[in-house]
Amino acid sequence: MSPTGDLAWLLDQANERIARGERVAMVTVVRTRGSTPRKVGTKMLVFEDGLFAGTVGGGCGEADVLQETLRAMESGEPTLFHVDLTADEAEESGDVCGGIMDVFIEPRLPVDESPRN
Amino acid sequence: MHNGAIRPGLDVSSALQRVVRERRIADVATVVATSSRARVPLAAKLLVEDEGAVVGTLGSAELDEAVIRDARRHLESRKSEVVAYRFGVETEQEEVEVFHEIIEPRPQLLVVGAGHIAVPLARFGSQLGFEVVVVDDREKFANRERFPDADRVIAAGFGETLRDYPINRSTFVVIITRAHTYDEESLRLILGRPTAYLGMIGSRRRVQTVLRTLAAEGYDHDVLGSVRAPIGLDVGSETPEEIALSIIAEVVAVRRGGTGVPLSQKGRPIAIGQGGRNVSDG
Repeated sequence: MSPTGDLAWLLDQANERIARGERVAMVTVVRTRGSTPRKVGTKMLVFEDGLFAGTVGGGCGEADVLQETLRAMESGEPTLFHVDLTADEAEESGDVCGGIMDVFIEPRLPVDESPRN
Repeated sequence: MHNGAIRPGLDVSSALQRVVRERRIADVATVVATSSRARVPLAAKLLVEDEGAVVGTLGSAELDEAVIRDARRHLESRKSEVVAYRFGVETEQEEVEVFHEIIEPRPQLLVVGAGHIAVPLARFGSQLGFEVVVVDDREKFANRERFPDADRVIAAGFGETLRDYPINRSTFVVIITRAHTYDEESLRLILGRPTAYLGMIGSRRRVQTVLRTLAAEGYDHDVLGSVRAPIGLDVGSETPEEIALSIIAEVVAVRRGGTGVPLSQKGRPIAIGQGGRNVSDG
């Protein structure tokens, strides 16, 4: 099993980046309908530069999720994002896409950036 | 404006890290959607441990209470899902969606005894997604060369290893030592602790002797009755590989909720139709 599939590893990575003053976002599949490529609970950790560890789409709908995640990271606001994979055209990469899923995007900010009130 | 990015659930995140590190089981409840009226912040988190501890709050005592109740149910079924909640006084009802996420370690196959059955068993377990740990008191058997696929090989006494070994409902314990005295010693140290599976090798007669001894010592009959002994499914095993297959098949059946019954004999017989047509025909 690759270490990226491991929750302990993802959490460590997230904390490490935050400690360095970077923003990250954890993306989690929370609901699926139809035959989606990933199961509920699958996670992806996205970094500020757009790189990520793990995958919630296996190539399907990933560009949309990534774009939305970078936006959420910018604003600092968590969001529930709806992904329709039924119309996805990822044939070129050979991925089998299908189904509908909701992913929850949770940005995490470095501690000194956190809002104070 | 409520910025939910980091403040809610800060202590939950360290609690989660602890749960993961210590290979424990928990339900992390996260608010993933709120109605416009809701005062509960998005991404608020509450962690409910399998053992009962609760960390964090979703921002409403009433909601917390309902979520904790449901968390127990999810911990039982081990199913992650989104649940909708409506709460608050009638005129100011809030609606939220909460993701109940079951955090559990990769299931662990704890192989007690590193003999000839353990070798194929560790290999099968690894291929089937288990974290495999092998323990034996003989260094000649409990070593990396013999178990290249195992995640951990422990060369130490059964008693001293198992006494403090962390075991929980994600641990599948297979007792296959070289002698039934060691089997019995190992069984004693695991009996009564929560496991996903506890099996012990041996003929019916030998297994009966061990279980009777333990029953006479006052071990609970239900606990003893839950031990899978003799271990494995009936596939007519003869070789060590076949015995390992029989054991791992039972382990998988328990993990996935299977019965072990041949699928051809499950449910109604498949209608073969008239005129001796083949089963696979339309």
